[in-house]
Amino acid sequence: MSNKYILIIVTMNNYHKESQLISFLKQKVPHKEIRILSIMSGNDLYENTSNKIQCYENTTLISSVKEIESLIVNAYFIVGIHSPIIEEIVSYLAGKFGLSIFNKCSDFQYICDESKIYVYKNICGGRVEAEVVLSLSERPVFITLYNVECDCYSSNTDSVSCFYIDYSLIYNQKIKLISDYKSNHQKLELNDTKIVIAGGRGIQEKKDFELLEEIANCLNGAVAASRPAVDEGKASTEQQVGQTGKTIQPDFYFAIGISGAPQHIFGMRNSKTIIAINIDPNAQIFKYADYGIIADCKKIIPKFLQELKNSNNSL
Amino acid sequence: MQIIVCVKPVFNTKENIIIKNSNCILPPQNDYMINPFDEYAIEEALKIKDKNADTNILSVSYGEEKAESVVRFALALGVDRAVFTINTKQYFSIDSLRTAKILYDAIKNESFDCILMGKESSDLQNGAVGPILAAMLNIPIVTNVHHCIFTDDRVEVERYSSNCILQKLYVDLPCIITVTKGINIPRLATLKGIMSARNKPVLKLSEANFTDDYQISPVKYSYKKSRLDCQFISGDEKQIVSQIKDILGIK
Repeated sequence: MSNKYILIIVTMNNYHKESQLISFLKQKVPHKEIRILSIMSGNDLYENTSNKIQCYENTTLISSVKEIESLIVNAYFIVGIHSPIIEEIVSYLAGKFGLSIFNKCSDFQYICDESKIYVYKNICGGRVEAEVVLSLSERPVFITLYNVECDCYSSNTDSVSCFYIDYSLIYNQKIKLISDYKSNHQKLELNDTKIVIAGGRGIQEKKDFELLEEIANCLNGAVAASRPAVDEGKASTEQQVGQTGKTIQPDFYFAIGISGAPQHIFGMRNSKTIIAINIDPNAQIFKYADYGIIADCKKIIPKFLQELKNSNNSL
Repeated sequence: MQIIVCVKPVFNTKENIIIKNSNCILPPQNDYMINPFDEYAIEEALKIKDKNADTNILSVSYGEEKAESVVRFALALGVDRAVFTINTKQYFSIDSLRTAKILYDAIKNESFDCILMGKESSDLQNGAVGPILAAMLNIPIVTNVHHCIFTDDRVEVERYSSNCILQKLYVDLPCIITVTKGINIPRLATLKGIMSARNKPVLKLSEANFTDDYQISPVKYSYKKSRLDCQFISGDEKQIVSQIKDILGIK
């Protein structure tokens, strides 16, 4: 039992998250060895490998699926921070080795003495929380966490063994990565930002959406949109929040000109503080918001932006 | 081309979720609806069929008896035939591994070029069934795809992998692709489609052979806390903006 460890799965694009996850685990489950399985692809593999890998004491290249199996079955559990590719790989590995998998969990509790893990996950559009108890006595489980907030401390990488593997190897070379690059569309990942400024149908014109962009920049936040705004071409699909878009939980969510249809609420309901601006006092959004402003967003937005610029200038 | 589409019946968005005894979610009182992301998968299959008339589309679903309406809906859109494994326990499943095993059992004797499905369901939101199924079938999978082009022996796909990183990949067939919004605009069912759906074959299977995963026990469900009443902010524009800044904690 004592030669087991917690395995974390990362992709090199997420290096800062990797440090956060290690810090998070060291606080949450102290005194357990941590090992890293790093999935590398494309540019990472050939350019950045030596730089990133050098941080770790022991690094091993994995060149067969059998070696992955050995790494996985000897872990207490396997954890990653959610992203589409992490979810895909983690779920695939869970399927390959017949293990349970829970993605986008909000938290977990590992009870070492009982060899059990409690996993917490929001389901049904954030309306219900599921608490699942899994036995780890015979097999590990995979979990991905929605996000971790943790300050990183620098001596993170001491005594952490890192194993790395080419993405294609997982799929027996049947997938070829042609290119990957950081898209210009969205400067900040919606899942990552603390402040999200979302616009809906109530924002009449695309140029008014651009004002939201400027507000977001002042606040170091990101712009999101409801489905009608995306369908009308005022925002991109990547910015859509809702049932067919993203589900996010920022600290602050501004719902501007958004009526509050269930499909949209689905994607932002668990934001910590929701501020709604809508000209219609009967808009559904006010049932879900913490703060409501009944006003014409066309008047509030420019004023808000002006005030933010003044604040920035006076610093 | 032979395409399989996984279609999940889910709770309607407006439906009230009812939890019984803290450990079970009751089936919906109203009709099920089709998982929104699966609609994009069906449309993607139909687009291929539009170009190649000898494409055959099979849909596979797992749900309560009452969810057959969703299976018929897929047939009405243009899917050719369906397999429907009926869930007799009438409970909401959080076990993706088990669901994947059930779907695997339903399609293991089928030949196919590609399996399409939505990237995740709107109720469980786990996104794991596709990748698990791919592992069981020993075929590759790419998730979260918003653009794909099929050629004879492979698919060329585009998707966001993480942190705004856009990937372009080539995947050998047979494979699984899970799709997201933006890949297409789903068509509506026509009256002709609805009528012809009645005569299309639906093979019904039972889930009798599948036991619960011994690893998971038990599950506890609880409602997320609802918010307190909304606090309305009033005043002129200057005052409103000033109060917003207070809420954000900025001077």
